[in-house]
Parts: sequence; structure tokens; C-alpha cells
Amino acid sequence: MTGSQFIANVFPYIAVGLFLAGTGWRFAHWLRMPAHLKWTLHPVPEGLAGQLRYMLKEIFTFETIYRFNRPLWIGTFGMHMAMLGAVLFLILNLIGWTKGFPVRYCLWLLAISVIYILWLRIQDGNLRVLSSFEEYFNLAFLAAVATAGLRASTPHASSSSRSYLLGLLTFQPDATPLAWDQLLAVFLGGLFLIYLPWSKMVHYVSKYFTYHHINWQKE
Amino acid sequence: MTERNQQNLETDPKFPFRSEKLLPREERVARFLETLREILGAKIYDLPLEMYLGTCAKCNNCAEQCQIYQTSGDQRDLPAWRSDLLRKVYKKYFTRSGKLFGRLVGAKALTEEDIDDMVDAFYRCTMCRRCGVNCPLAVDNALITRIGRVLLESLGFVPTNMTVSTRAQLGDVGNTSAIPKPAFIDTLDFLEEELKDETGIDIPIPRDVEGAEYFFAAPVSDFIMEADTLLGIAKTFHAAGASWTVSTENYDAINYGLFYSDEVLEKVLNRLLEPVHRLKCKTLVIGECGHATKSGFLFQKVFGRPEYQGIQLKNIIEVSHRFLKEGKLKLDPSKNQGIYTYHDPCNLGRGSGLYEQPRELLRAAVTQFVEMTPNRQMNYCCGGGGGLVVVEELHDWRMSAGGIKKADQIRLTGANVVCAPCANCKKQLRELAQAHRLGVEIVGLHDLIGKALVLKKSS
Repeated sequence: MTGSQFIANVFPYIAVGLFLAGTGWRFAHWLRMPAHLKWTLHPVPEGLAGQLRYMLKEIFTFETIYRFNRPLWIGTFGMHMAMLGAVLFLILNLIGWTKGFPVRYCLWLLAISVIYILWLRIQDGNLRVLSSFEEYFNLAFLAAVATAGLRASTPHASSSSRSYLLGLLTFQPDATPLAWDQLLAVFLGGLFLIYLPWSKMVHYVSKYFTYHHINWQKE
Repeated sequence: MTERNQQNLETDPKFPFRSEKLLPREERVARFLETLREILGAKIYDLPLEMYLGTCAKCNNCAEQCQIYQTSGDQRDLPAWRSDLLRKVYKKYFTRSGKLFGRLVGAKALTEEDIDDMVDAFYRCTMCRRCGVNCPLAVDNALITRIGRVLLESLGFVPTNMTVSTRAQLGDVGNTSAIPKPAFIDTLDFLEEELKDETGIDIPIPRDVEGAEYFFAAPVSDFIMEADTLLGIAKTFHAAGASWTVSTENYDAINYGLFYSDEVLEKVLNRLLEPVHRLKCKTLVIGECGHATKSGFLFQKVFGRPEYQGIQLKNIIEVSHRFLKEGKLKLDPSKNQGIYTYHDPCNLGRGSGLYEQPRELLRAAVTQFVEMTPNRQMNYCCGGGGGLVVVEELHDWRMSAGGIKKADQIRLTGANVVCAPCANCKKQLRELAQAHRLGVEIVGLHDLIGKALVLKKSS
């Protein structure tokens, strides 16, 4: 097996497996961890419906940042919605409901948003003093993934990318139609998935605990 | 002792308070890490501390909500920067990624200079928790400030005002103002006479009554300086026909341990719970005091002795509100003429969830009520929270960076009376009103309820 074949045919499964295992481990670790101190922050939204309403609103509007930091909100809202959109439209594209261009629009938005946030972190004195290498690295990594995704989804390449991904999903991956830039996108995307649960970007899990298990804990 | 430790620390800009028994400088790093290890190993803070130290995205949204930073513009007042002082150390010594990658992931080996920065920073935060309300990741910097102060206490860094008061409270006299028992009993007698003079009714302040339903404890300052609050509470219990008592020994609900020491918090809390248990009272009712309420509400489960776990804890506002809802209190708002506004004490609001009950009581007791803006969970701290109100050396800071937002907020209401059901808030707000010529009176909630209560001669 060549290196290219490994990246195209094996590595994606390893990456997804490690992503799921890492996410599961983080979730289980925090779930097992007790919270003896009830560090509740009031008000607590009423009932499950109230909590769900708050969470969904926060996830889909980023209201907390919108209210207090509009310049940051532009970037962070764009970045997160672009990630969600890219995944959603990719799925729709794979099942044949949409063309490939909505995915590209999302990737463009992702790349632009990430570069904008990087710029904010560099030029804002307070953000700069708070940021370590990790913050810059995470953003740069995400920008690289978005850029690679853009290269791999050009109109010229989108057909072969789609058939490759469908092959992956049906456990019949075929690396032959892939060019080097498409392989790079697969490789970077896989690395990002492996890294995600162990990075600060794990807040897709941690947020559940900080809200539901700490701030909203009732006596 | 080193030369540095012999110097008067009131002149040290990093910690402008007198502190006792400071550890020699060269021993601080080791002790700090040892104490942090103990805290992380104790089954108290577990999940919240790990989440708050491990998941901050450094978005700095907290700074936009911090009234101190919004006033000072000083980088040391960025909540995330302050928390990062401890976060870097935690990562370096207690996480795999920090041990492996060091500064690349924001970890840093602790130095004596870092401790100097913490000493400065952790006493520039009022622990109001306002920054936590709109943190997108729900990180609460106030807990990190508290842990930071507990760590500093292990090195000897505590404002002397706090340690002196606590020593008196945990000593023979049993209260932070070192009032001897006979003097306290005289005070209760005097308050009863006042009640009789004012109402023409015998309204007792029951003492050490076994089996009373409510065991009442207030900050000692209320007994000495806030007679109207105490009189209002006595009238309320009387009007409701409630069975209640105070203790003539452990009656001081103040718990400065909340601001700097787990050990002190635990001792004071158990000392307060002891007579409640001994007298077989069902409910400990904390008076108008935010931090005493929060220290009881939050820490009873982790620090209260097993035999005290059955004791219910309530704030007096909850109890009076229930009496009002049950129709046991008849209030005549015309007794309180003027424009009244309400200050949400951080520890009663964000800390204990008491937002609507005090408002309903206040609306029933006064003729005109106006809200501050913002209010409830977004209300500004008085500027003296986190125990800073008792630190006289911080007076100028409390009147400026700490309290300007609050002063402006009060001025904009147009009210002539501010109701603040918290002893610490009242002290700070009175100083603010004087320093900024606000022209407002600062009162407790039960001062107003007491005036508005219509008492039956036979009740």
C-alpha cells in the first residue's frame, strides 16, 4: 500500500474512529466527575424546555457574544455557522439533494471568518495578551483545512471528490481519481478530527457540562 | 525572616493591605503548588474547577461585562487574564498537555513574580460573577478568583481586617465585632424596648428557644448599626405569628471564609449550624446578608457536618415573601413615600437566585418603585463585593474603579432611596453616595417592610 492509498483508503476511518473515541472519552470523563460544590449561577432556565431553548438560541445565534462584542461575533458566528453548513451541505450533496457549490460557499466563509479572527487576535491588544500559541495554531489549522477543502471542491474536482466520499461511506474507498490537493484535504481533515477532542475546541462537549452540570445545577 | 517580610506591606503596591505571617518569599512557590495539589485532590471543586481552568476560549467576552475593567481599562482587570494566572500554573503542573508542550499550550512554571501578580490581581476582583452570565462557554471567573485567594492565604496573604474579624468570630466571643455576650443581650433588650415604643405592642426577640421553627442569624453589624432592619424582621416574624429565635452565642452570620479560606468557611459555617442543631430548629434563616446567604446555600453540603445536613437554609427574604403570599403580612405602602429603587446584591441574585421575591415585597411596601438599568442578573456589583468592602485601604479604589458604574446607575434612576438587602452592599453604597454626592438614602428591605407593616394590637 502506498502512502497515498493509506491516506485515502485507511486514514479517514482511523481519524473518524479516533475522533469518536476521543469525544466519547472526554464526555465520559466529565460525566463521571462529581460536582460536590453546587456552583449554580442564577437564573437557571425553567425546566428542560427552557434549558433547551436557551441552548439552541445560544448555539444558533451566539447571543452572548452578539450582545457584548459585535466585532468578535461577526467572526465567530460566521466560523461556526460555516462549519455547520459545510457538514450539512456535504451530507445533502452526497445524498444527491444539492449541488456542490453550497459546500464551497461555506468553506469560503469558514476561511474568511478564521482569518478575520486571527487578525482580531493579532491586532487587539487584550486578545493578544490572552492568546498563547495554541489559540493561533487552532485557527491556522482550521484555515488550512478550509483552504484545502476549497481546493478539493473546485468545479473541476468536485465530481471525483464526491464519488470518493461516497466510496468511503459505503466502505469501498477508491483513491485512484484523487489528485494531490484532494489527498491533502483528506489528510488535513483527518488530522483535524483527531486533534479536535483533545484541543480547546472540545467545547462542543464541554459546554454541556458547564451549563447543565454546573451553572444550572439545582439544589 | 527575610528583609522583605519585615517590611510594612501597606507600602507594597502589589498588596496594599497589612497581612500577617507572610511566608518567606523563597518558600512561596513550593507551598503554593502543594496547596493547589490539595485543592485539586479534595472532593469539593472537582468538575467546576477542571472545566473553568481547562475550557476557556480566551474570547475576552468577560471583559465587556466586567464593570471594573470597563471603568479602569487596565489589563490586570481582564477577568480571563486574571484567571489565566492560575490556569497557566494548573496546566504546567497538573495536565499532560501542559507538561509535554509547556508554553505552546499556555502552560508556565510558577515563579515568585507570578505570585506577586496574583496577589495584586485576585484582590482587584469583587467576585460578582457578572462576567459568567454571558460567557459563551459558561466559565465562571469568580470561582477561580476564590481559589486564587485560598492559595494566597496559604502563603499568608490576607487583608488583616478579615483575619482579625475572623479570629474574634472563631474565638470565645463568637462574632466578628468582638461584642461580649452581656452587651449583645443588652442590645436585644434595647431593640425590644424600641419595638414597644414604636408600636405600643410587646414584640419579643426570642432567645435560645428550643424547638423554634426559625433560627435567625444576621451579620453582627445589623444588630449594632442596622437597628431598623432588625426591628423590621422582628415585626415580620411577629406579624406572621412565627416561632423563631436568635442565639445569644453564635448569632453572627458573617463568613469571610467565603472570600479567602475553605478552612475558615467550614469552621464558621459549622459554628453557625451548631446551635440550630442543638436547639432542634428546622430552618436557619440568614438575615439581609448576601455573602452569608451564599456561603450557607452553596457550602452547607460540602462543609457542613453530617448531623447538620438536615437543616434547611433560607434567606429572610424568602421567608417574608412566603408570609406575604400567605396573607400574613398587611403592608401599607403610604408609610414609605418617595421613589425607591432596588439594588440586586450579587450573592443574593446571581449567587442565590433571589430576584423576584424582594421586588414583590418592595413593591408592596413602598409607593413608587423604579428599576435600575441593568438589573437582576446583569446588575452592577456595589463595588465592594468579594469582601473588599471591609478593606479600608481600598476605599479610594472602591469609590473609583470599583463603584463608579454603580454610582452612575443609581443617579440615573432618579430615586431618593436605594433598597439593598445586604450589609456589605449597604456599607459600600453609603460610602459611594457620600463620595459621589448621590443624594440618596440607603436602606435594607426589612426597614421598609417594618415601617409599612400594619400590626394588630392583639397579634
